[in-house]
Amino acid sequence: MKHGIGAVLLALLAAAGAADPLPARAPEIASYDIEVRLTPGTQRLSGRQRVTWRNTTPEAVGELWFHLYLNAFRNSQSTFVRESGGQLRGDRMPDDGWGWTEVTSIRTAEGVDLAQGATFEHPDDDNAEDRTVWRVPLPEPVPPGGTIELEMTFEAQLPRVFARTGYFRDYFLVGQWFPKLGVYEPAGTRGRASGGWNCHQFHANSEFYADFGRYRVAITLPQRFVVGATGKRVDKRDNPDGTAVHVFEQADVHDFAWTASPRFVEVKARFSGATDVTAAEYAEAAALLGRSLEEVRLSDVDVTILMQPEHMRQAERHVAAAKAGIKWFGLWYGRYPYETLTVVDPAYGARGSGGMEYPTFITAGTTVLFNRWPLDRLRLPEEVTVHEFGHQYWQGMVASNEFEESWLDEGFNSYATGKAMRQAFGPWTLEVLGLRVSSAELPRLGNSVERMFDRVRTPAWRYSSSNNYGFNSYARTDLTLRTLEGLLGERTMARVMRTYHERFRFRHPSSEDFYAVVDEVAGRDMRGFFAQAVERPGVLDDEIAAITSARVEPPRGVFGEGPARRTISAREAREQAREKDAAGGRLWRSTVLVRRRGEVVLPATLRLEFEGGDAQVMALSEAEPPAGSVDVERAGLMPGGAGGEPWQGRFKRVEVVTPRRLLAARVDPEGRHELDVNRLNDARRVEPDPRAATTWSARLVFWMQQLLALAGL
Amino acid sequence: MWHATVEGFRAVSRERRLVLVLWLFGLALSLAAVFPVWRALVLALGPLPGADVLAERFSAEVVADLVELRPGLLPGIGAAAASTFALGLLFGLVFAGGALEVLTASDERPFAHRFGRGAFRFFGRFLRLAAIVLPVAAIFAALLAGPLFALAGRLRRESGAEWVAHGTNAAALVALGLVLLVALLVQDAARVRLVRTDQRRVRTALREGLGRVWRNKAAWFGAWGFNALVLLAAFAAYLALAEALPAGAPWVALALLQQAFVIARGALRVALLGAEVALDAAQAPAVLADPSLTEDVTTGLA
Repeated sequence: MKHGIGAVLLALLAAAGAADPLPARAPEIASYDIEVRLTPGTQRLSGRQRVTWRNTTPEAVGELWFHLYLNAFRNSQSTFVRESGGQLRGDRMPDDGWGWTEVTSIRTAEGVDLAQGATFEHPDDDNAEDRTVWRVPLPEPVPPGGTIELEMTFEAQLPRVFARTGYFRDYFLVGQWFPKLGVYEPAGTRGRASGGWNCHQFHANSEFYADFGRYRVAITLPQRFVVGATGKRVDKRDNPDGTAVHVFEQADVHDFAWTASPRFVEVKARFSGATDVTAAEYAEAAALLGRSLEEVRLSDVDVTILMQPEHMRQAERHVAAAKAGIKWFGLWYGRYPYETLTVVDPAYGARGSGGMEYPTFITAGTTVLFNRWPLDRLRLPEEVTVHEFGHQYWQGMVASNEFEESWLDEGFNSYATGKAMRQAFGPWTLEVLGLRVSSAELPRLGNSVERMFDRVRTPAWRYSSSNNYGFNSYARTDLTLRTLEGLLGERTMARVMRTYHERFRFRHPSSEDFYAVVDEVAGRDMRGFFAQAVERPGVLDDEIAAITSARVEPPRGVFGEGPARRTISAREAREQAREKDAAGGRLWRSTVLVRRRGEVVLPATLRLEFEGGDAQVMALSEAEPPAGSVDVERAGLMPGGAGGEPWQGRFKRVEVVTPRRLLAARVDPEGRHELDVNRLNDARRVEPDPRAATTWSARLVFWMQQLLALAGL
Repeated sequence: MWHATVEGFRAVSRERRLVLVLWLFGLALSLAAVFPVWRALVLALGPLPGADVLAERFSAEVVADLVELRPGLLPGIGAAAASTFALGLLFGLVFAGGALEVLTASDERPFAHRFGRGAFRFFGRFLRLAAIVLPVAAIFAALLAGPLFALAGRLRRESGAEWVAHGTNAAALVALGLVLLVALLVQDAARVRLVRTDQRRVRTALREGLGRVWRNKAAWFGAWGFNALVLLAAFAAYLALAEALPAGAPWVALALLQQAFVIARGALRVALLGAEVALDAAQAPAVLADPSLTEDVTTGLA
């Protein structure tokens, strides 16, 4: 006993002293020290940057590849404009609102001019007119472990706000604005055969991918502007010429964005790990994740909301949403490691810059219509704020490649956003005039009607359309992860997500990395699930196609042989039936036809519900049933949900003979298959129930009468 | 205006059968339109336990699944609604003729006779009247609201003044509503003129109707406004009572409540017609059709 107590104490001490599995710092690979001046009248940026790139790979690297994202808006021939057709994210590119960027000089720290051999590359589509990727050969390779410093100057013209970035009157959202390095991936990284730069062109349906580093950015612009940016403001000084310099710094990030407008109203708040989270919530999270209280403890964060004056009634809603994100994402996946979070409420007319994420800096989006009844119960400002905050985790810290595997950030974040929204604000995302739609329902709406399934793991720009990219990267992945949660259980799924985040915070994981974490934490091989749900475009749709239940008729006809031969007439059989009915001993023969309308095969159970409240649950399995199982034998079912190879066929006929009448049958009765494109056909009853039809018909009569009144009757 | 409004409510009390006829017309048409929908819904929803939630509340997810399972269901409901609306337009003309005849005729013929007489006699004239009023109203609406909508769009793209853009949109909607209201009031006034004078020249009646409304704007808009306010109050009361029904209440309870509201709405429609007749009479008390002439034309007998 004494020995046992000692072992427990030692284990507790070891746990207390164990290193926090959350990495404290990101590797510094690509760091930027930038001075930029904004001239509001011309919407021009003039910049100078010192770029430090460290080669952390085992390969010598002889060239650098840069993103020049603003050239996506340079003319109608860019890949971005060709693909988007000038329309994206519900926004239209303004006429003549072009933007561009130009590197005016690039030299090594030793003064060697690198501009001469530089070329524009177009690795994705051979569009020679596209200037969003720039390749710079080096005079000599950077050896493994080596570092190179570059001095660059650049000029940029901001576009009229469209697709995340640009200006609108005196509002500026400056994203993807500086010459930015791609990611050098050595051979073996995410399946690469040979090393090289991962530096894609700017596409309509894709976002970003970059290495971590330290940013120091000094922004010069007129003093009347309120400025917000990635990171922490470390200095602000006014110049005699009427301009001011705002200096921001942030380490452990892979991008930097900023905003400026004289109209912003700055709302300050502070998230407190001590008071914004209760002891019970900490204990619950620790128990769910199997972590110590210290591991789930959250840090304080300074929150700045830059509101449009006409939206000030919604300032508290934005603060609450930001705090909800910091709290629930922090508790579930790991504490938010930065000191600041800035939320930007975009100007009206600059909606294209809303709903976007950058490290420690996100843009939301609302309208004055949400200030008051009847639209004030639409939780869209909260939803977009929590979602964009969520990208701090899924893309910001777990920095997957948004070009190539968009499901790893957009889909994971949609799944996490839904959970956080339900936890913080209840089930309903949309509530207006008595109609309610829940956050759980929303992703299923497109799932049912559109059936736009493609391979989830498709490079973002190769999807057939924006809708297809959006559905598969966001909603379908959300449903896929919810289905995975249904299969693994809430606790295991929570630990999967936590482990994945801890292991890949400040790294660039791929789909295989996530699959491996799932297998490891779940303790079983789930590759078959991902092969179907992520790697192939199949649809999951199991339905109860038909159902009957009728009394077993007594036998009729000729029985026995020779002298024992006997004929039971129809009349005798009917009498037998009546006698058995009177004695209550007649059985019911029920049949259920399960049909697989899709290609995806998941372990499923079938629940048969009988009169009197009895129910029978069985796994739909390929395995032979155990001998002696009378009722389920013919059905080829395993009783009681006992595993086995899932049933692979298209139709399965289930026949049972029972003392009670079958009322209804349900496939997946626990509702674990969120991915099922039509959950309404998962269950069917023998006798139709007209209540729902009659209720809605009565309502229809009423609304038809109103229509007639409008027509003058 | 108050005199006319009171006269309108007196008319309702005097001719309660008009309310009954209006309600029965509407109910019969609606039931005829909804019956096939009900049958389709029973076939579609009845066997599916997942649809039971619709008996309690709206579910977007269930409706989306239903649309996928029965793609023809929603278009079918839409077609039923469109047909009902079209029939409503026609029967609205029939009812208006009958109701105005009942409200204005001074003979002692039975209600059904007077109603039928007015319904058939004025149907063609009211149809021609609507054929003039609707296109003219549409043109006015386009001229007034169109530029406002265009301006709102431009403000949204260019100005950044959110309230101004939304306000301009709202102004465009108000302009649309105002055109519609004026068109309806002028049409009603012209209908009253047609019935009271039994003239066949629709355009003359329309001019006179327009003149009536224009010269006595306050009374015409006031009578309509008061009627609309009472209707709003009735609708609010209906919503409150419907909300107060317990979740498990049988559908019959809601249906009864709905029909009570529809009857109230019918009474208000008749009250408005009565008020409009009173307004017209106040502006031109001497111009009344000769009852004997009316009888001759209706029956075709000397």
